[in-house]
Amino acid sequence: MKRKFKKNSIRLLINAGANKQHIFKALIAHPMEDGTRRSKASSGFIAADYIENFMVLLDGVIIIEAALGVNVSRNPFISFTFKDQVFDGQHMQVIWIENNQHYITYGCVIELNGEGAFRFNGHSEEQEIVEVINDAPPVCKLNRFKETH
Amino acid sequence: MKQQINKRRRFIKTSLAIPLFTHLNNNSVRAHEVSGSSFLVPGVIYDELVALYGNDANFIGSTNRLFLKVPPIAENGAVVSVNVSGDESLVSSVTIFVERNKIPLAAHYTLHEGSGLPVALRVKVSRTSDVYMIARTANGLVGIKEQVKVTIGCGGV
Repeated sequence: MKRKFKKNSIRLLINAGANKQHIFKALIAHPMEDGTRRSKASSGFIAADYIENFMVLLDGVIIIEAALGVNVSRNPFISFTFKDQVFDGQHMQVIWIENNQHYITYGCVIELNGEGAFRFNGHSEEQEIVEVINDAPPVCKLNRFKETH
Repeated sequence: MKQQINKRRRFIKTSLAIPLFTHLNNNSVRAHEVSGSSFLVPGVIYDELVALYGNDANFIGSTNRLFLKVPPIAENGAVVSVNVSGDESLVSSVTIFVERNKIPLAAHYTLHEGSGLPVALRVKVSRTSDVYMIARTANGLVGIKEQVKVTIGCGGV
């Protein structure tokens, strides 16, 4: 059976690693096409479609920004470590911007379970994409991948 | 008659050797030598670093407190996990390059207050090449490189 993992959906896990620090792990469903592959169906190229900027906000404050590009694998896995431990009730936002300026935001409230972990699946029905804004301003300054494609 | 055959053989041998030699020579890494930098980077990466860090790109040190973990042999170059860890304090940004990709810059993390190392990512590596990690710390830029061998079939180029 083919698992349904819609484009721009997210699977998120926060759990405690070594030194009891909380680690953020996200798996995003995304083709990350670089625009140089030829399509088998038609004679042209497959259109470029990749994530340019990725960021995480905790209680409205940006804690990490990442400028990604065409060199990142399909279905990108992004992980980092929180400096301070996260606790229940904190509001977390995960945002990314595609090269076609689509702006995808997921919001969730952290609730650690009995094992001290928090899971969030952005593709389930209750937690749909909060907002998709077209022509959003680029937040990160690093948009130089566009010039080469 | 014999001499003619020998001549022909010699000609064929040398004509085969010249393109092979030039091919090997082209693959060698051209490091960008900068005074004051103890960590050398190739010219393509240096240009990107200047765009990202400005003048600081001329002084890149080496470190033994940060670690870059990549698989030494990758069977599938489309998914190569890169892990940057270490106990260096005040790492404010981490940049990852794959030298022999079309665009060497793979990712640029800006770590604000509240996030830190280790960071992990999966990148594409088109063929056997060095993966560079440049981090901005309290003592300036530091760099590490590791080689990833991409083996398609057997052997590896």
